[in-house]
Amino acid sequence: MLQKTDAEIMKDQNQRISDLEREVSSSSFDIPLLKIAESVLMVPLVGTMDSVKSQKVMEDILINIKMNETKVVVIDIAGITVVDSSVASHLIKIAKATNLMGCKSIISGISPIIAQNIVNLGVNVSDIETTNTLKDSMVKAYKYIGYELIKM
Amino acid sequence: MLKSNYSIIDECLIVDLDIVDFNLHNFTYLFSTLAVESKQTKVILNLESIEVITSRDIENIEKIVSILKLNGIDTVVCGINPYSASVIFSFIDNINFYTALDIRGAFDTFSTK
Repeated sequence: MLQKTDAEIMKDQNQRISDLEREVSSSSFDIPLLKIAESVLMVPLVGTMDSVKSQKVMEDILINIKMNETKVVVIDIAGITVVDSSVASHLIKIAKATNLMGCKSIISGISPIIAQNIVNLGVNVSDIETTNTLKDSMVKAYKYIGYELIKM
Repeated sequence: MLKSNYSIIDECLIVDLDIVDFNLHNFTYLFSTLAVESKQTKVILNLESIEVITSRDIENIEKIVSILKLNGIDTVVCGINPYSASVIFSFIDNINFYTALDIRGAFDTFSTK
């Protein structure tokens, strides 16, 4: 078997590096952070969640809390395709971190199967506000900052 | 002798925590003495000057909060930076003290809790 020359090894490694760079840049994403009222932030999550994405979501939310003195963050997970125990764990971590920054977090879009996954994780969710629908979250969020949604 | 600075505003002791104080073997005693001697029943621990908060720091803060609680003093911790907040729950499960974004938020927390 022929030994690879230094030049060939170097070429292979450069190729590998550019492949990895392409992979990283293609996986970059922007999370929409929607300021829906004074001190209320809404974060709709769609697609798949992994540890990289959840870390990015968490950092973006926490920086926003610091910059805008956000009081309530509503994280809507109705658009997440699969919510397994790992995703549930990430969501709990995000909620706890926002609480640590003195901000209330509400997770909306919790379906029965997601609720089951979260409970199976064995995580104490008593400090975390959750709702089935985004509408319920909005009502809670407004109530928290002292507003009430009423029909005109 | 504590390195942390402190001031009293609106009947509340505000302590700008200096991380080096955690190296003192009797830091909990010193903090509780400071709070008791200030004759205030509310304490705000401001962590704004701490760049990286570790799980050990959280343990130490919990000790201070517990000791102050034993003295009948309520405590709110504020000023935790986003980067520390984003990683801290990878190392600890829960925190057992009230938190706020900043000193103003800590005053609000006292009035609502």
